[in-house]
Amino acid sequence: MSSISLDGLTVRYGQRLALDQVSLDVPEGSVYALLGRNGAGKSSLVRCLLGEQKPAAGRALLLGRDVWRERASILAEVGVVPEDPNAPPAMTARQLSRFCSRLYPRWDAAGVEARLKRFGVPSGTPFGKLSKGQKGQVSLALALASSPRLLVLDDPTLGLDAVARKAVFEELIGDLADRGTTVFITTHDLAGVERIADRVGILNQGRLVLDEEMEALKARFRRISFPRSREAAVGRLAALAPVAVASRGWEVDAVVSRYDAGSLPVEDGPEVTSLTLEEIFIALTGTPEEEGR
Amino acid sequence: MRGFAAVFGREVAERRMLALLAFGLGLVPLAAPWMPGVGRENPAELRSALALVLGLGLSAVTAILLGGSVISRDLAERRLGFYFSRPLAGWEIWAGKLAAAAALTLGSALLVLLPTALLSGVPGPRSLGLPIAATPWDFLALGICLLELILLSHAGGVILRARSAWVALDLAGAGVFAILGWEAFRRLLFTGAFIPAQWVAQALALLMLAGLLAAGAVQVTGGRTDPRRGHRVLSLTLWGLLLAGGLAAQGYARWVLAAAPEDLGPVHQVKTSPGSWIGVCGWNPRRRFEPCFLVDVPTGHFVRARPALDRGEARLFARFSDDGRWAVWLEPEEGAGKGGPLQLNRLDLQSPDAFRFQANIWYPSPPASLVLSPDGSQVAAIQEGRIVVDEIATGNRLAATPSPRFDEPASLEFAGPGRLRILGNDVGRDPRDPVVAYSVWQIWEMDVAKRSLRRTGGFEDQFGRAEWSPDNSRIVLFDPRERVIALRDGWTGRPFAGRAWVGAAPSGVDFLSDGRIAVTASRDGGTEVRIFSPDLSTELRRRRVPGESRLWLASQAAPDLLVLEREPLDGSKRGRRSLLLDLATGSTLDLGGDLRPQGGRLFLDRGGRLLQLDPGTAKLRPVLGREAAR
Repeated sequence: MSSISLDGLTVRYGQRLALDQVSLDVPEGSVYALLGRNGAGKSSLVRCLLGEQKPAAGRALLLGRDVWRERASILAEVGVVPEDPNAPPAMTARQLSRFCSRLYPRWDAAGVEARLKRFGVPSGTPFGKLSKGQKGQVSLALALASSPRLLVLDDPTLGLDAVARKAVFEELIGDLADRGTTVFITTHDLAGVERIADRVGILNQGRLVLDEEMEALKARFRRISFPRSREAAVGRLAALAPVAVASRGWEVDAVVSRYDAGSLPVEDGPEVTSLTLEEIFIALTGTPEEEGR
Repeated sequence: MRGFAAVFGREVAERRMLALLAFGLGLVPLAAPWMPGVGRENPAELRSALALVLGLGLSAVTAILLGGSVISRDLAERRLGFYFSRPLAGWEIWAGKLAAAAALTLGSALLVLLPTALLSGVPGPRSLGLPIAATPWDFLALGICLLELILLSHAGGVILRARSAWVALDLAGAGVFAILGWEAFRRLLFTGAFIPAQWVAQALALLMLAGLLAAGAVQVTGGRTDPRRGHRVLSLTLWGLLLAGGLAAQGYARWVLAAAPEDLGPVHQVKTSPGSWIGVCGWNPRRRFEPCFLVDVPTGHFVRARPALDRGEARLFARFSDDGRWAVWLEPEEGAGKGGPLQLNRLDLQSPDAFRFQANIWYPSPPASLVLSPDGSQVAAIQEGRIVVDEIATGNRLAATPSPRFDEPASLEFAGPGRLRILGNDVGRDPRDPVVAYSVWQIWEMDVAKRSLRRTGGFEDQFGRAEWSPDNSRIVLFDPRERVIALRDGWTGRPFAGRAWVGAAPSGVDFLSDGRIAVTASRDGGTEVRIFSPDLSTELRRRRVPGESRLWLASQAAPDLLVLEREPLDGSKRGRRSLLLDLATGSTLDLGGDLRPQGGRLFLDRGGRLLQLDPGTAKLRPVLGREAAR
C-alpha cells in the first residue's frame, strides 16, 4: 500500500503553474526524497500533501485517504516538520509538547524531552527565542513523538549547520530503524538524504522530471569524459541519453542517464565515473549555461 | 471538541496577562474618590461610572485587537500552519481561537467591574446618567455587539493582511450592503413602520453576526493557510450572505410599504371630505404598522400618505377643499424621520391617477391648526405662534404674522376671499363662583393681502357649545342665563336673533348643512329633535324620539336624514346607541351600539371597521377594516 499517492496534482497561482500534473507513489516504509531547485514547486506540493492547500486539479491521498477532505483525522498518524518552524513563539518546547499531547492518540512526552536533550535544545525556552536550527530540532522532536506512520519533512535541514544537519539525519535513521516509518522529505542537503532515501523524485519548474529508486538512479547515471578527437564516440553518446554535454578544452564531458558499459568501446578512451545524487540533480536541473561554465 | 478545548486553552493561557491588567484597572475606580480634582459627593456613583467606562473601553479595545490578530496575524506570519499540521479540524482552530478572544473580551470587562460590583453593586447604565435600567437582554445585546466587533475585526484583519485585489469586492460589497440595509430601514422608519424597521435592523444585525461567523469559519476551514484563498472564500461567503440579506430586507420593506387600504385591520383615524374621498389610518396586522391613505370609498382608488408624529402619536394631517376637489396633507421630509420638517402635498381628487404635487411649503413641526381655502389654492396654519398663509401652486408665502394668544388652541377658517378668521377661546370665571368656568370667544380677522390682523368681536358661551354655520357667517348657541337659543354674527359675535327656550336645557344645538338649526332636548319623559329655520324665526319640524335620554346630533347622512347619538341620562357609555332619524317621516331606526360616527355616513364600530350607511336601505356596509378585507 502507498503511504502517499499523488495523482495529477496541479497547483496554480493566478496564471503561474506551480505544479503541473504531478503523480507519484511512496510505498509504505520507504524514504522518499523530493528534490528541486528553489521555486520548483516543492513547498506547494507539501502544502497539498498536508491538506493546507487545495489543488487546482488532481488529488493527494495520504495513508489511502483524501487529505483535503480528511486532513484532521489523517494527521493523527502523520508527523510534520515544516520548512519554517512555525510554533507560537511564546510557547516553550515543553508547553508545545503538552499542547500536542492533547491532540494525538499516542504521545511520547519523555521521548520529546530525551531528543531535545540529545539535540542540546533547552525545553524551557520560548520557541521564538531559539535559533533556527533549534526550532527545527524541536519540530522534529514533536513530529516523532506521536509515533507517526508517515513523516513529512519539508527541508528540515534548511539553515542548519553541519553538526545540526548530521543530528537530524541521525535521528531520522534511528527512528527508521526502530519503527520503519514512511518518510517523505524535501531537502537541499543531497549528501545527507542520499544516505537514507530509497526513492528520489526531482521537480523542475513544477514538473516531476524524475521518480525512481535511488539504486537504479545511481546505476544508470554516469559521467563520461573522452578526447574530443574521438568523433565516433561523440556520435555514440546519443544512445546513452546524455542529459548534459560540455566541451572542456580537448575533452568532452557528458552526463548520461542510460549508461551501458558495452556502448562505448575501450578504443574511445572513455573515462567513466559514478555520480553522487547532487551531481545527478545538477545535471538534470541545472541550465546548460551553468553546466558549461 | 478535544482540539477546540486545546486551542481555546492555549490562546487564553498565552494572554493571561490581560486578566492581570483588567484586575488592575478594576482597582482604579476604588481609588477614584480620593483622586485629586475629583468630587467626593457620591463616591459610589463615581466608582460605578468609572468602572463601567473602563470595563467597556477595555472590552472594546480587546475585541478589536484580539479579533484582528488572533487568526489573521498567525495567517500573515505563516504560523497558522502549526495548527494545520496537527490533527485539528479547521472549525476547531477557528472556534477555539475566536471563543478565546470572546472569553478574554468579556472576562476582562467582568474583571474590571468586579471590585466595584463587590463594593457598590453592579454598575449599570444609570451610573453614566442614562435614564434606563439594564435588563438581561441589554447584557445579551452588549455581548452580541462585542462578539460582532471581534468577528468584524477578524474579517478586517484577514482582508487587510491578504493584500489581494479582492479588497475591491469587499469595499463594493460593504457599500452595497450598507445602502440596501439602510435604505430598507430608513424607508420603513420614515413611513412610520416602526416594528418592521426594528425587525429589519435586528435581522440585519443577526445576519451580519451569522455572516461574519460563517465567513470566518469558511475562511479558516476552506482557506486554511493560504491567506488569499482564505480572503476569497471569506469575501464570497460574507458578501453572498449579506447581499442576499440586504436584498431580502429591500423586498420585505417593499412588501410592507405596499400595504393597501383593503389590508387594514382596525381603523384608527378617519377624516371625511365633502366628496367621496376620506383620509384614513389603521393598523395593518400582517405588516405590523399603521399606514395612512387617502381613499375614494366608492371606487377604492387610493393614495398612500405618510403620517406625521404629533405629540408622540402618528397623525394624518389631511384637509379637503369645500368643493371636494382638492386634498392636502403633510408628510415628514424624506429622510428626516417622522418628527422632522413636514412638507405639504396636494392631490387633485378629480384625477386620482395624477402624480401627487409636492408643494414647496414646509412646516418645521406639526401646526396647531391647518386649513385649506375653499378653492384649494391656499393653505393657512398656526405654526409656532405665527399665522402663515401660503399659495400652494407657487409655494409663495402670502402672509405671516404673530397669532393672538388664547388659553385654548386657536382655530383658523377661510372666511371669504383673502380673509381668514381666527377663533380663540379663553376660560372665563364667574366672580361669584370661581368654580364655574365658561368660554370667552374672541374673533379675529386677518386680511391676507394687507397682512393685517384685527379683533372683530367676541362673546361669552356659558353653554360651551357654540356652533358656526357652514358658511361661517353665523353662530348659534344656547344662553342658559337668558334661556334663549341665540344667533350671533360670525364676525362680531353680536346677537341678532333669539328664541326663548322653555324646559330642560338642550343637549345639543347645531347647524345642518343647509343652514337650518337643529336642537335636541329632553321633554315630557321623551326626547325631541326640533328643526328651526336659519333665522330661528320658524320651527320647521319637531320629531319625538321615544325614551328619555341625552341626545345629540352626530352627523347628517342626507338633507333630511340625521344620525343621532343617545346615551342614558346617568351618562353611562355602555348604553350609548346610534339612531337614524328621518326628518320627513319622523321614523327612527336603531343603528346599534358601539358605533362612533365619523361624519357624513361613516361610522367606526368597536372592532375598528369603517362602516358606511346606505341611506336607501339604512344598512351599514363595511368599507374598510379587517371585516371588510375578508
